[in-house]
Amino acid sequence: MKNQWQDNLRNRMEQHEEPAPEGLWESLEQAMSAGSSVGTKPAGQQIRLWDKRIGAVAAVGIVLFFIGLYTLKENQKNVQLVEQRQPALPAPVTHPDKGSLLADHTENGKPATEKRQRGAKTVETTKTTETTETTDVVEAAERQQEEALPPEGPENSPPSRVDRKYNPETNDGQSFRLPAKRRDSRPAKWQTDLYASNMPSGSAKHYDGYRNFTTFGLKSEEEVHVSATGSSLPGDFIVGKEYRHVYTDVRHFQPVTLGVSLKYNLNDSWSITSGLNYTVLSSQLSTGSYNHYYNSRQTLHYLGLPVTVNYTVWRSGQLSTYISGGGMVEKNLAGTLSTDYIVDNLIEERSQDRLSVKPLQWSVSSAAGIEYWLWKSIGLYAEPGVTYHFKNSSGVETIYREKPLNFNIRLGLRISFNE
Amino acid sequence: MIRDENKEQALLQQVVRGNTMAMKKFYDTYSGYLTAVCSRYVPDKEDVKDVLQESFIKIFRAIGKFEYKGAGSLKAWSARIVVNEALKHIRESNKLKVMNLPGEELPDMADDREPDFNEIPTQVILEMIRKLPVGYRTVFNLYVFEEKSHKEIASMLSISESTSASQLHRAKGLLMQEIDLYRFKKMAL
Repeated sequence: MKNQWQDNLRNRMEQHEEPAPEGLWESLEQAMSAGSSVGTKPAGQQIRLWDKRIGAVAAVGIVLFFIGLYTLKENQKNVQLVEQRQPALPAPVTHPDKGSLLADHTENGKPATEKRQRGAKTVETTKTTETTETTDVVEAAERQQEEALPPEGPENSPPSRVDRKYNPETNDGQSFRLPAKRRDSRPAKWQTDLYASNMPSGSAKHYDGYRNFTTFGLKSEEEVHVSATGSSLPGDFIVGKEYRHVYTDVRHFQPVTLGVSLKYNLNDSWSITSGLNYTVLSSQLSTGSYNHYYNSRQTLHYLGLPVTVNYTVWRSGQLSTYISGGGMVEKNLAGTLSTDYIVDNLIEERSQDRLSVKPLQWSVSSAAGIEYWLWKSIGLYAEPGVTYHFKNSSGVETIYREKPLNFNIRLGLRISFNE
Repeated sequence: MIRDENKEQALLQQVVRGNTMAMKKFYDTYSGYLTAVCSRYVPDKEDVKDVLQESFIKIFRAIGKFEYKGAGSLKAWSARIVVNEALKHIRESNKLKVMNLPGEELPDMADDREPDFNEIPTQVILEMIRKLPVGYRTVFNLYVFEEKSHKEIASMLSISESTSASQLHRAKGLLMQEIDLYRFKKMAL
């Protein structure tokens, strides 16, 4: 009975927990990733040809952008001259790849032009209904894209699809009899647009060994099996362990962006665009071996503030082409990481964590755009471009980190505010 | 229970493989208990963090050699690593020297009294233990919670058996004082 109090106390302490020191896991993570510099380089990582192609295209694109800026500035006068002389519907020689887009509009272009010649004063109500419809259409297009677009080939992203959707609306628009006002080829000072964009290339990678969404912890087998300090650690037994193939699959889905922007035309050729956009990034990771593994799905929501400078290369009537370059800062608003722990095909445990990326995500981008004014104050545009996302200090794996350089296509609707 | 064991073993396997997600899960599961264990030995919060960090690194490195012996064995094994690390910390900070000061005689104390911890919250008991002088505290912890004999304690801390016994005795005495004080305060309030 003498030790009764000891047993009681021991049992009570056995159940007792104290809050772990703040920041312990973080510093543990740091210490371990510093210690695991021998960490495995992910084996079996296949860099697809696609990545290289994007790199090449981007490099060419950026070079062209600057060369273009320079030479076009020189020829600005000529361009403007041509602009005035150009018939309403120029032959789409300069952009053979956009043939379908132009062809689509040729039929509708004429009535639109006629109407434009009659002139039109913007009716506020029309504008707003158009805007809401557009949001739907853009979203629909974006959904379609998400489903239909294979990871390869930004070329087959469907500008024409959006256009076709638009045709009936355009025709409806023509039935309006609006008071006359002459429209010159000069764009309005202020324009706004709604757009959707995605990166046509997702990313899928296969690694051997375990991985995580955070960059920490690529521990090699050797490291794990390093013997503990020589001291008499209790439970120091060597257990024969069978080897199981351990794999990790990481799939980053295409980011999807929706946005509104406002464009200010400085003069005939230069304009500045800014706005707000919203991006969803999602990725999937499974790690483990054949009969027990973790399945994680990570979703991140970003709010972005882009600023771009645009230069109109060529404009004629309803059609114009431009190049743009700029930067964007994105802030992570929210994120979730849900993990299923699966043993023998059964979900053993499910956990859902909030996730946030504290550092801002900076990026620069360059794009070439083609814009078509369906009708007086509403235009459609398509902008293929390249974006480079800078690495930030966050440890969260995203497509931005995996593939900093990305191709994207943005489709949108532009509304101009005429004075 | 068997399912729990499977889960524990599966987690263990993942930690052995170096899966950081599993490590985090392991950390989430055991860090509370291990913090409590560490806090018994180390009063300073910053030191607790350092010792725990070292312990977790040791645990993750050595876990491949851990032999699973049923539910709770992983927890117990981890706690022993924490205790070892805490002792190492105490030894390194040379605080144990005090214990071997000569002339430490057992004070006359009613030997039949034992500390009565009933109705005292565990949290408070832990604080009382933390407030004990390092020597008393270490011996008390090893004797009561790790169930070491005075002989074992003596060799672990390189002190004599009688020193160990006297330290435990004094620790108990101080704790009883603290308990009385606590009860008195409680009554007064």
